[in-house]
Amino acid sequence: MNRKKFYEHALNILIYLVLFLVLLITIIPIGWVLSTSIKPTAEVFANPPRWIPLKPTLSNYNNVLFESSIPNAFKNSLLVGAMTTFIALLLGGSAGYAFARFSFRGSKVLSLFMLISQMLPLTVLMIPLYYMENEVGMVDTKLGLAVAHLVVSLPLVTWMAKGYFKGIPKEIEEAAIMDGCSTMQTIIKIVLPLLKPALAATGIYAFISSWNEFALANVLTRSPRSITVPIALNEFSSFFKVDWGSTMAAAMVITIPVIVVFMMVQKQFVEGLAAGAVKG
Amino acid sequence: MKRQILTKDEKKALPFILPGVIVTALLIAYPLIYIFRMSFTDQSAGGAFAGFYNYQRLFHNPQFLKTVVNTIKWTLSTVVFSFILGTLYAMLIHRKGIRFKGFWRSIIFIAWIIPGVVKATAWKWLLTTDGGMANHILQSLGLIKEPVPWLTTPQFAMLSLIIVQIWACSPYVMLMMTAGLQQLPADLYESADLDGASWWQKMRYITMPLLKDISFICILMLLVWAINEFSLIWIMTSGGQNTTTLSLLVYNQFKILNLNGASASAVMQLLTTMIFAILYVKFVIKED
Amino acid sequence: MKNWKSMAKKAATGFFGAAVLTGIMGSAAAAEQTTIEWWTPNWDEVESREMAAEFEAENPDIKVDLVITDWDTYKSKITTAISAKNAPELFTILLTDVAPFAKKDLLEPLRELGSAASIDFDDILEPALTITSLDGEIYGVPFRYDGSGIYYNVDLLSAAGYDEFPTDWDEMVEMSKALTKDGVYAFAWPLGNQANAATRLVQQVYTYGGEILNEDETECLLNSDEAKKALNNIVSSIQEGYASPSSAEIDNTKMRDMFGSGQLAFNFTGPFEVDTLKADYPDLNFKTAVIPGDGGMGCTTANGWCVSMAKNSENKEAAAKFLAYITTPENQARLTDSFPASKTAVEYEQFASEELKPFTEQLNNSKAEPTYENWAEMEPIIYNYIQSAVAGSMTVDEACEAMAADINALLAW
Repeated sequence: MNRKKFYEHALNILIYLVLFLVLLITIIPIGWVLSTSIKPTAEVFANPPRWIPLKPTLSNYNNVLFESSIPNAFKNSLLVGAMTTFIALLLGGSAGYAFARFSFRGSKVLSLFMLISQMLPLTVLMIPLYYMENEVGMVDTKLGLAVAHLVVSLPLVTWMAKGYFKGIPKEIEEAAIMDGCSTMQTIIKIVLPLLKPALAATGIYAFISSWNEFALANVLTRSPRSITVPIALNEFSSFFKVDWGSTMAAAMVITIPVIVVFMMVQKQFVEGLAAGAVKG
Repeated sequence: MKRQILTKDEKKALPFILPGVIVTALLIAYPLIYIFRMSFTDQSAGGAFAGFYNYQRLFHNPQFLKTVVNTIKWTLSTVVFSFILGTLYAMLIHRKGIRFKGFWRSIIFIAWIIPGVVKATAWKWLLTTDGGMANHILQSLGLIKEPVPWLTTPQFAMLSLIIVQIWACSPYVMLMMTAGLQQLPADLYESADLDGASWWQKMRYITMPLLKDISFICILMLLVWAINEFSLIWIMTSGGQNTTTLSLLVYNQFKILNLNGASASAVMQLLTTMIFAILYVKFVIKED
Repeated sequence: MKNWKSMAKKAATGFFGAAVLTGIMGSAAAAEQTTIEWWTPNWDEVESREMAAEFEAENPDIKVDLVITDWDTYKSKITTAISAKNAPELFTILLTDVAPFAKKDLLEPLRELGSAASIDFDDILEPALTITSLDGEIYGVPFRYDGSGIYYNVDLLSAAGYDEFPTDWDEMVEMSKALTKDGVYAFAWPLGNQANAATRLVQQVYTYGGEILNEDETECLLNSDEAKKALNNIVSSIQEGYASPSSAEIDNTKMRDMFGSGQLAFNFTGPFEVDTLKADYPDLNFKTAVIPGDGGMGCTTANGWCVSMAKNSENKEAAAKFLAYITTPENQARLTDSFPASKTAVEYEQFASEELKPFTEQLNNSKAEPTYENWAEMEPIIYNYIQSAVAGSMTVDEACEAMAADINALLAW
């Protein structure tokens, strides 16, 4: 038994080593962004590279936070993300419920259609989406971008929701209906509370993909009223030069909130994903 | 006999399913029709039908075949290795006796949540041959003598891009797999232990079948991300050093307003995705 | 689940309320005055805003809306907007990008419309106007025109025993070998960026009198001796070690920073960096010179910026009026970051500084950047083979032959 224990310990130590290595590889790029963000222009391209600048400066952050459009873009990104998430959960959630609960003709075809939708390249959708939104005057609006981002999130949310609803025994709902609840009441009072963590996880997914999306936002936004952060990052590069210090400071400013929020909800997020994961 | 148009279930399902399907159809079907139409017409001739001209032109471009080969290389390797690595992370952290599970997961997951533009730029800098942190670290550790030209030679450029994509995508697999692992019923393993099942037997007969559905979603997502990836490649190599994939080809043609050519390339990109997906569905999950 | 309902309600009221509001406000404004839109890049933002404000003060019936674009995305934005028939009245665009749009009939011809609004086309430098013209019609009003020259670090050159910058390529190579030491390289090539890299090869080809395509654009001439010499200049400078080994992965903006921080002894770039270099690197002691070539001054490719009008925009007359205002000689001088494209404005004192002189001289041996219809498809091909040659996986001969073969295959269709 002792020998077995020894192996267990050795294996654990090995695993910690591997994890530590992975941690380094994850941290280093972020660390480099952080390091560049506090360098004065003259030190940005120093060779050999240096982790800690000789003359660290916060002027890049000052520039980003008080003299650029990043704070405004940040607000736009939040709103666009919130709208996309809300619509995707509402539409995808109910479609997923129908797929999971009712048997109807075309169910297989439709669910396959949703799956294929998920696979369309954004570069393919970019131009026609612009045409469509242009027709209804939604180009360069937050709502327009939020709707476009449904392309990324809606099919997956539907697919995931289908799994979650399947995971809830039908008997629970049937019991509620016996007690005189309508279908709607059953869903709202019984099913949704059970799925809170799952829906939250799906929502976080929809939000993050909207937050990071570049290709569509690039063509669909143009003015401060709708520009999102991935696009606003370009503000610091012009035809002749790139203000790398400020670009990296802005990158930190938009990355850190996501990381912090994720750290806080990490446990719930995994639990949520798990809810529908095994019996899909 | 009066035929029922809709069954009871169908009547109930409709209000739930219609809004989502209609929105998806609007957002997807119109663009699909649009690119198919564009790929068979000629805009400079007022949108006249052009037969297969745009496709023929594409196939005669010597870069096209290379692009397809690159796309396949890129897709297969990023999907396979992201999946393996992500699953490995999940299993290592899930292991009994490993502490600070939440901490490790959160840290690893950072790689997935940072905006694509940021990660591409950060890696481009790290992998700079001369004065890049990666070579600096490897050299000071004595692992390499000469700086490695990560992004500037055909033999390393694609490899570097693939590594970065794996780095960025495997955390997603880790998280999904963790979710799956946490749902596995402990009693099954206990009774398997009692029966004296080996690690591999438990893996083969309990873990793998139960994680099948979640693996399906993971691989599908990896596939889609790989074929669609644009900003990472564009920022790190601009498609140089033989790293052009189909999405860069579409963009390059779009940029010069060659909407017909871009649409033809887009259709090819779509076809590639579909071929991958169909093969995958047919051979991997056919038992379903 | 009350929250859900109330949230949904709030959100819905929010959306529709906002939609209705913007609708009302939009139509109210339209009734009073004509609104025109101008897309201008972020490096011109300050001057653009000033001019728009001045113009509005003089013309109370016209309102100018500005949209600020940036270098990385301006082209894809204009491309989408213009092909979706939702383009702004006016947009600032690279001279060489005008032709592709004009060929697709997406731009408004400006000769008549512009002259009526008193734009003096005779005052625009001919080479700049040639680039924005197609079949005798003008599709953009140039306000900036320039080509590259050399910036050199005076301290590094004098340490190596050079007081002046050589005008012959071979002499420059000799000097480069002397300059390269202690981690400093003589110069670099921007081979990490497709457009930058292709432009530099083209400049070298032009310097030796070569061409990219034959006259009727049916055959690629990049397998000529001139082109091979040109590519060899790039490849050998890197392989022999006096051009920075980082060349393969950097672009013009990074070369500027390497030059500024003293890692490069000289740099090829445009006149627009004189002021910004002084501001960003106050300790740098630099001068400018013309590009050395084959026994004399080399050839530079010149390009610049102009303002074009979209064909299917609404308020063309008002837009032409504003276009005339921003392209007067005085305003060209304000708007440009290098040289104006107005003959009158070029004579202004601000363009006669010691640092700018070589660039004026260099323009005498300059050629427009390529505007071939297939250029954007040729560029990646050229780029890939330059890189293969520099990486040593192909010889210069093989790379040039392969470029020509691939481009010919492209032209055949």
